[in-house]
Amino acid sequence: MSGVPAIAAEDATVVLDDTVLLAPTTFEVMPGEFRCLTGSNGSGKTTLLRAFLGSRRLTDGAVLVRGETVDMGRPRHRRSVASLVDPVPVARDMTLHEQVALVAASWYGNTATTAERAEEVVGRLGLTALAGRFPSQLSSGQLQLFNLALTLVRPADVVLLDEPERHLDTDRVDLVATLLAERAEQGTAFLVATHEPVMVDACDGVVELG
Amino acid sequence: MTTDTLSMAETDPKDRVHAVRHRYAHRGDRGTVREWAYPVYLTVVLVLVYVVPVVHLVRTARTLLPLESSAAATPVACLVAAAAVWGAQLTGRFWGPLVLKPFLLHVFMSTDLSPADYLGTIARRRLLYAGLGTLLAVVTATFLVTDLFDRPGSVLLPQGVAVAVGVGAVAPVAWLWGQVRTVRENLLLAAGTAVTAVAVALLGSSPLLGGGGLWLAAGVPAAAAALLSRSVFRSLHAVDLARLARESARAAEAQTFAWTGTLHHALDLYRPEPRGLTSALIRRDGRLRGHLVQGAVRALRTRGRTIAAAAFLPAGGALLTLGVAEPDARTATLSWAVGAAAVYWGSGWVGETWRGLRDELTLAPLLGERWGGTLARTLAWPLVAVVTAAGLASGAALLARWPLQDGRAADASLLVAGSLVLVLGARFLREMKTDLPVELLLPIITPLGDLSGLRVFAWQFDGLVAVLLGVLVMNEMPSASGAALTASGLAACCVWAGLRRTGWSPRTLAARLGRT
Repeated sequence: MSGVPAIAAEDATVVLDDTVLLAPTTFEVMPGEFRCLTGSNGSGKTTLLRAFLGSRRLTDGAVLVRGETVDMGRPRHRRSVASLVDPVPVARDMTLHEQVALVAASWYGNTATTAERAEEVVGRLGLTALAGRFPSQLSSGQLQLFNLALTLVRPADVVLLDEPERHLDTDRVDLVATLLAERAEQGTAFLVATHEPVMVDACDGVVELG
Repeated sequence: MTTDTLSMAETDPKDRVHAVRHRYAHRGDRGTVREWAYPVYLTVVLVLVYVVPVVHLVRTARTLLPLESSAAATPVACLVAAAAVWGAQLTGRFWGPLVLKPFLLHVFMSTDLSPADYLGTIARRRLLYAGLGTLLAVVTATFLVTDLFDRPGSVLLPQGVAVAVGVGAVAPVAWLWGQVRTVRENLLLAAGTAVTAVAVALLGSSPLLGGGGLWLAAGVPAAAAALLSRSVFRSLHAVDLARLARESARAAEAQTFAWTGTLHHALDLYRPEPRGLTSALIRRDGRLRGHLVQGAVRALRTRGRTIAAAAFLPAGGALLTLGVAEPDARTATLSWAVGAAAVYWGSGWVGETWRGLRDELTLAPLLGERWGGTLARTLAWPLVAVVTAAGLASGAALLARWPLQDGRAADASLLVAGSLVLVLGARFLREMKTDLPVELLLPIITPLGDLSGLRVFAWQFDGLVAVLLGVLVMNEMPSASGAALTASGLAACCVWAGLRRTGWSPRTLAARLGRT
């Protein structure tokens, strides 16, 4: 599988009522590669991420994940792709740590790995001191880090992120960029839509839309 | 950390589902036994104080639906079974047994687990509860409405219970079917149910089965439940997860509204989004079409609601006319009340413009100071549609019963007109509802305890309460003209209360009318 791109777009196009949401786009991201998606507002960054996720149909062209067409209904696709593109529903009555551990448990079951992964990602994102809080007790930036923790605690071959720097200060953007680069070195492919120069500096390459 | 790092031991689906459900069940802020015990205690007290007397009254009154033989009971059983299946299917389209808490569903959806792994157990448990609830409801309704339980030694009694069990088995499966199957498959099931119900009813009424019609009416739903459940559970693995996520998010929001006393906001979440006819409001030359056409076009953009209104308005008009035209009939008052309620519901579904009126009265001015325009824009279509549809059906029902007794035609016309005015007033009251007034939460101390909860409950359904109370009051009036006048007075009160809800004081209302 090493020669197969983690994700690939081949003339991927989305047109809605004569409005071009995504102009024909072609590129590949290999396993272990951290690629940024840039472009002005309305250039199609989120549309492209949704196409890779399977929640937006293309009107022309194709998007592939590990060489296969995207289908959200296929378990193998859901196994490969983790994403923070649309708002994540959170449980009001569960603490931050409980929720992150619950996502980990959905992959590792009731094993020691669940606790380890949850502790690790919460710690890496600087949320250890907030682990016992409920979502309503977090600031906007802390909520964004919490959403990233929910996304990154699970194993994935491909991670799709839409503006992960949202609501974060410069230090936290650095923190997130470093973590993504480290995870990429372990083999996960990242496609990150961003307007943040720090994120662009940390990535392996840029796909410019529009 | 890719998925290649996952070991087989860690990825057993059963363990993973169990781990998630166990952790979710032991979450930090879950409800404690004590927190659940208090609502249960309140429910028991409410049932004892309010429901038991009603049950006693109904039981001591004349039987509404006497069932002397199996041949007479079978068509009723078929109608109940078919209605239960259709109702369950319809409920499943909006709120089905697979609806989960959004976060929990998101966690499961983000894994490679098959939906059957995590939805199957939940669905089976909920279907069991729904089945028991349906069984209880059918048995209770039979106990209250029919005389089946009045004759303990009757052969009809075990057959009636068997029918209730059959309905209790098929309705939950239809509920799940309604949620996971396509619209076409649901229509097929609904049509199949209708055909089967008619066939069983005809067979049961004929002497062919020798009084065993009710056994057939019990056996068919039970067999259908077994057949359908195999098929519907097999389709769980291919359930549309994106749609389920939307339904779960909507249900969670609606539940929050319902628990905080604003049920109308919760119901608003289930209003369909308008579709189609995107350029029908404007003529080719750029001018807007007339108010009636505007209302009709906006109604047609939500076709499901309009079709429901097209069914409920004529049916309601005919029913209430039959109720007032033959006041000596045993079910006259019931027919009148049910007909008025049907017209009330249809009047809401027939138009989207009621909300336009509320918004124009409560929000910052958007459309200019044309007061006459506001009323014409928003009320022309629903008033004309309701009066026309219900009025025509009412006329047809009167003609079908012609000739009536001396003077009864004029009385019936007056009562129908009064009922329609009352219904429209109640609809106006309902549509002008905004947020729950805080003063409704103040206690009402009575010898029966604090009745503020009852007042909040009545406020949730105030339009329907106004219609039903109005019909009961009209029914007790000595003359038709008096009843019609009373209905007009009640409707005027509803309109006045509705306007007050939008914040219009008499002075500002008069000033605005004066600027016309």
